[in-house]
This record gives sequence, C-alpha cells and structure tokens, in this order.
Amino acid sequence: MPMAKKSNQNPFNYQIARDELDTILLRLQQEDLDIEVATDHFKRGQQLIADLESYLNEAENRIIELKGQFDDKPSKNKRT
Amino acid sequence: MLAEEVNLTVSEFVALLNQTLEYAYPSATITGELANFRVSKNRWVYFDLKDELATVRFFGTVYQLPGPLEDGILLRVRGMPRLHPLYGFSVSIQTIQPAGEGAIHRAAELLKAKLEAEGLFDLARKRPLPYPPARIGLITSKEAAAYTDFIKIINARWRGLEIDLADVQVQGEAAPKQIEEAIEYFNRLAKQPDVLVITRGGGSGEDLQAFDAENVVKAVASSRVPTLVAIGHERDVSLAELAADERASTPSNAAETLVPNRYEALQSLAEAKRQLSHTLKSRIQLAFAGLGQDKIDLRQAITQILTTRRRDLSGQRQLLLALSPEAILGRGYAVVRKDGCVVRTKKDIQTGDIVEVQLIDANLRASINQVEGRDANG
Repeated sequence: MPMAKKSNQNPFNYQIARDELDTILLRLQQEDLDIEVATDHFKRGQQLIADLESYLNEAENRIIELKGQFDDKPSKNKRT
Repeated sequence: MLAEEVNLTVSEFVALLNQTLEYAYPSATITGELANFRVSKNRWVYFDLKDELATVRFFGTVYQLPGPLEDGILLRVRGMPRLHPLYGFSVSIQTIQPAGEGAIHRAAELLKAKLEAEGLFDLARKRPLPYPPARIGLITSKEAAAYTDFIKIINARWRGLEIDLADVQVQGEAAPKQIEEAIEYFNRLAKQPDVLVITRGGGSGEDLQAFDAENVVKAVASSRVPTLVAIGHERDVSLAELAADERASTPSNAAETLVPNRYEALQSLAEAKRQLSHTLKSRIQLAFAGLGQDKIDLRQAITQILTTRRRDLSGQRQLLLALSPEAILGRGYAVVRKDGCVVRTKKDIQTGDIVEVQLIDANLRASINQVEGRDANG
C-alpha cells in the first residue's frame, strides 16, 4: 500500500494514520493470521511509523490571517 | 446678550430642534437605572433610564438587547436624541450594555436562566473535539496576550496544523458583533475547520461581557463546527463557555486541551515499533513451531505406512516360501531328470533309461526297470 501523499489534494492526516497503525498492531496479535499476511501488515506498519515520525518531527504549523474585519456586516442568518 | 427670538410653528420648532441635536449631539451615551422596561409586538422596546433627578425615554428594537433585562439594572445606552413630532422627546437606541459589575452580573444571570431553559447548555449537546485537529479556526485579538500564549503552546506541542485566524475585538461595544460574524464566517465555509477556538485573557466583568452577550452565546451554541471557548479568568464561567462543546480555563490551557504532546506521541510510536517487531517475531516462531509439529506428524505417518507395508511384505514372503520348489520337495516330492531335462510324462522315459532323482537333501542316479502308465486322476 503506497504512502499517503503529502499534497493539498490528499494531505497526510495524523489521526487516520495512527488509527491504521493501531489496527495493524491488533490484527498481528491474532494467532491464526497467515504468515504472509502478517508480513504485509508488518511492512505497512513500519511505513506508517516512519510517516508519523516524519510528520511529528518535520511538519510546521501554518497561521493564515483572514482578510477583512468581522463587523458592520448584516447577519445573513435569522436571529433565533 | 439674549439670543434672537424666533417665531416658529410647532413642526418648524421640532425640525429645528432635531437639526440642532443632530449637529451637536449625533450620538450620546447615557448611563442610568432601567425603569418601565417593556416590549411591544415582540419587536419594539421602550424603557426609561433614570437617576435621582431625571428620567429619559428610550426607544429601540429587541435585536439591540444584550439579553433579558429587568427594571433596576444599571445600563449604558448609546443613542440619538430626537424630538418626535407626536410622541415627544426620546433617544433612539444604537447600543445597550449593562453598566457596572453588578448590572453585568445580573444581566448574565437573567440570560443564563433564559438560555438554560432553551436547552443551550445541555450536556447532551456537547460534541467531542477531534484530537488532534488538522485545521483550527481561531477567533481572538491578534494584539492580545491570549493569541501569543495560545500560538506559543500550540507550536511547542504539535506540528502540521493549519490555523486560520479571525482577528476580532474581544472587548468593547463592537466585540459581540465581530465575534458572532467570525463564528458565522467559519460556518459558511465550504471546507470548515475541525474546531473553532474562541479565546481571550482575563479581565474585569465589563471587559468580558461580550462573552455573555446573547448573540455570541447563540452563535457558539448553533455552530456546526465544534467549539472550544477559553476565557482566562478566575471567577464565573461565561455563558459562551457554557454553550461551547468544551471550555478551557486559559488560552494556554486551550492549546493543551486541543492537541497532544508530540514528545509523548513520539514515545508512543517508539513503543509501537517495538511491539510491531515483537509481534511479528512471535508470529514467525509460532509458524516454525507449527512446522515442527507438522514434521512429527509426517514422520509418524511414514512410520505407520512402513509398518503396514512390512507386514504385507512378510505375508507375501511366507506365501512365496510355501510355494517354492524347495518346500514342495520337503513334502516328499522328487524331481526326475533324464539327460538334464525334467521327466514330466511317460513319453519322456522308457525302460533302461538312466535318470537323476532330486530329493530335498540328496541326488540319486537310477535306472528305469519298468514304466507303468496310469490315469492322471488315479
């Protein structure tokens, strides 16, 4: 399974990746898991850990200031 | 020197006075005790502000009210004074705010009771915040320490966030409207943030009253984007905090609530790495153990097959021995040969021939004295 691409269209999502890793760890504990399937899960788990570590160590926070002031504009919503 | 006397009709006088007022006092802010408060047709608001010596009438709409009001509360009202041609002197309301800590507190109590009855603070309405979020809508003043504190803690704790900042006033007359507009802005976006954070630092009751304003509280309650409100103060919880999905005690605490500590997350990943290796190793060992058992089973199966085959072979050997010529000789039969060839019938022999007779344990040489034929069945 290819690594999630870090692009605007499909940005890396920490929580989704972490949830997938937790699922893999749980499945690997099943004794009846076929050895080939277990190996595939192991490889995917390694990839996810690398991606997550990279995200936590390298990604930056972006602050975007919205243009314009939030005043003197009539509210479009009906006041309840 | 006396002013020039003017002689006007009633209408002219009213018009002149209103022109004068508009020029001299286009807007005035008046503080007094609320009296004779009433609402007409669920739309028009009438009340007086008074002090020990005078009373002034005010007129406006329900949309300008900061919340429920009751007679006796101290209010600060900004409005346009005017002389109505029919109804006399009044001030047209522009803004209304409770004045003084007591009034502010009382107004908040009245509003709290009203909104609580409407269910805005029910625990069942609270939604969990995504943990961690990927995108935050931050509503605060960029000039305030709250903003700096929040960003500092967020940057220390987590990475990869997008923070969209709506720079608004967080105190003063304009604050409630700006905060409400910012909340509505984020809710209108096609791609909304994962959470809205509305925050400011501590201050007096008057500084913080925007977060008790009805329009702000309702905007927080009706936000489709989950909300976290953090007003740094030590006393009462603001109504906006009660309406939010989650509250935090300070802007810094808001950042701590929103995102994990990335060092702990890295430690958790290190543990996951160890667990991954250990689990696969165990799985492989289990597979080998299974192979060992398979080997034992195979060996047992082969041994079983061999035993059966040996048994069958032994039986066949016994049969073979029983059918061998040696065994037949042992039963008293003999083989007769003449000139090396086995004599089978009387045609192969005649009187006077020399023959060899093979017994089980000896070979004889004999001569034929007489040949007597007989029936094969006799």
